[in-house]
Amino acid sequence: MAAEEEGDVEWVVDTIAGFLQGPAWSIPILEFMEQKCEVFDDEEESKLSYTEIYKEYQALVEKLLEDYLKEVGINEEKFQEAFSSPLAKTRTSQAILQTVLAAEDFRLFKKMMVQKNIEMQLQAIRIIKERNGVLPDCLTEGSDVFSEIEEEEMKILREVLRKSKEEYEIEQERKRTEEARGKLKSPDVSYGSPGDSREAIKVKESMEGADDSEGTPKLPLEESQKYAREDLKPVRPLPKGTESLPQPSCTKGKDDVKKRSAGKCSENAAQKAGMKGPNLSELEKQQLKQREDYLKKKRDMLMATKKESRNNVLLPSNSEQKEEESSPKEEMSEEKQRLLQKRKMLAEKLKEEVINKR
Amino acid sequence: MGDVQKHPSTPQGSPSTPHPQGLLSVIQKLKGSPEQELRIVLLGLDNAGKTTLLKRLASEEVSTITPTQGFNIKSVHSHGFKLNVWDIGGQRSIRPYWRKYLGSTDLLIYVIDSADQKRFEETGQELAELTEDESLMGVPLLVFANKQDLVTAAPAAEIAEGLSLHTYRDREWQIQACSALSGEGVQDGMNWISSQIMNRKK
Ligand SMILES: Nc1nc2c(ncn2[C@@H]2O[C@H](COP(=O)(O)OP(=O)(O)O)[C@@H](O)[C@H]2O)c(=O)[nH]1
Ligand SMILES: [Mg+2]
Repeated sequence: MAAEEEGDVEWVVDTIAGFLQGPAWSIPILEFMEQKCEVFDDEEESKLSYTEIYKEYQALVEKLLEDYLKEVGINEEKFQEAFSSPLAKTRTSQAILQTVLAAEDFRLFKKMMVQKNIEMQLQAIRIIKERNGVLPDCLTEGSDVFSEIEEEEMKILREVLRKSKEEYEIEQERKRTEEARGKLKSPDVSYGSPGDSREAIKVKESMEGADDSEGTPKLPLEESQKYAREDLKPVRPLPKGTESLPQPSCTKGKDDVKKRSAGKCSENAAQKAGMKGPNLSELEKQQLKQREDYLKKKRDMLMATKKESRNNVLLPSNSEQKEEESSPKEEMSEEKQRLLQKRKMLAEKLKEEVINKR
Repeated sequence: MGDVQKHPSTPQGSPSTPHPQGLLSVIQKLKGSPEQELRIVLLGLDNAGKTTLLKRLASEEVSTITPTQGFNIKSVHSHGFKLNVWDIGGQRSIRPYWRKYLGSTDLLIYVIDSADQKRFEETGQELAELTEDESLMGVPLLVFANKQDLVTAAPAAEIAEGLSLHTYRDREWQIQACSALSGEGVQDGMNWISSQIMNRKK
């Protein structure tokens, strides 16, 4: 009888651990984080607005758990019993539980959100870089000048991102349903849409603070284009197959050397995740894999759509485009240079953040 | 603007009900540290010295503190407990948000600038309203009569009088003179907190 009970407890714990690693859990959680991470910056002081978001998160976590328990017929009592047993500790990990624990630990939640925000900015930069990765000339020192062609490229790209967002979301929706039914892995579809990336760049703007407001409305992609170019200056286009890995940490060899015991500038995501110790590596590996998949998909999609719209030439000029930042040919003003410098520093900081915290 | 107006109806919502979250609290026990955690909320008017006190408690530098627009949290380890201390901005415009942070509070610290006589009434009013909040019912109260290093500071006894602390009968309370800046008196206050926690455990 005792054995039977134990088996029961084991089953409950395993079932829930499985659930917490599957898409029915991670998709809504990731989506929430992506949607709401924008306001989370890395200041020590928290904003009052975090609290509302935190409460929403708590509600989401609880709802997801409750619904699932209902679905599989585990009542609260059984759940309590199972998760109070020592088995719960041995058969789960902090990595698996992290998103649940965050609902009871504001600081953990904040950390996750800040990290997500940074990740999304890096993703955006990465994507932009990949799009333009074959343009090493434009990665020239201190240059903030687009050629007209490049500017045209950016317009097209923006348009593509905008247009493909819808298609992409539909596709996501479809996959989500599929995946929810099928296998329990890789909620990569939830890594947002091109729109998300643009959102993330906006955050960067806001993180740069008030003095960034010289009155020129920024064009998100163009901003990060500059940003990316500056940031990624020493990089050459990566060899195929590694290029869509999520972390641009390789771009600054010296940081990497500092932070990696191996000192090798490998883009091995798993290895990187492993550095943090056994606690998080499992989840992180999974996350990195997801991001990798996501970026690969996104890149392929962009490649395809972009080719297509290049042929369609004339693009509807939406209002945002009109807000584009001044003439590309103009000499860079001191102010612009300063701004650029700031961005560069921010980028460094972001990278460090992510590397440190991963 | 009337000076002693009641809290404007708070941005959304009722006084935060401590979330039931039976489910989550179980999972929380699986968290790494075995230390028991307690929630302490640190309130008081702006400029009272809350953030300075918080940093003092966390043994951090207290010389470069700017007015708090949002909130800060730090953990202090004391007598085998992990005290999660929440310092929430005290400007009038922020005060309506205080009650969103009161749920599940184990202990309230209220900080007063002992040299700011002009605002004694205001701070007394705020404290009175706070202690009426449902979520803080029976929650022990520690009042720090801060800035005792200033010559103009009123003594703790006088402040206690002004606050009518003796009329607070539904909870344990204590007033402690201190200087968050120099650290004097802060540890005494913390010792009282520990004694409260220990008592409650029994
Ligand atoms: N003289 C003196 N000044 C203090 C003391 N505690 C805080 N202050 C100063 O009071 C001002 C407000 O402090 P702060 O911690 O920001 O108050 P808060 O608004 O309640 O968080 C700062 O200039 C502090 O340096 C103290 O014990 N003595
Ligand atoms: Mg403060």
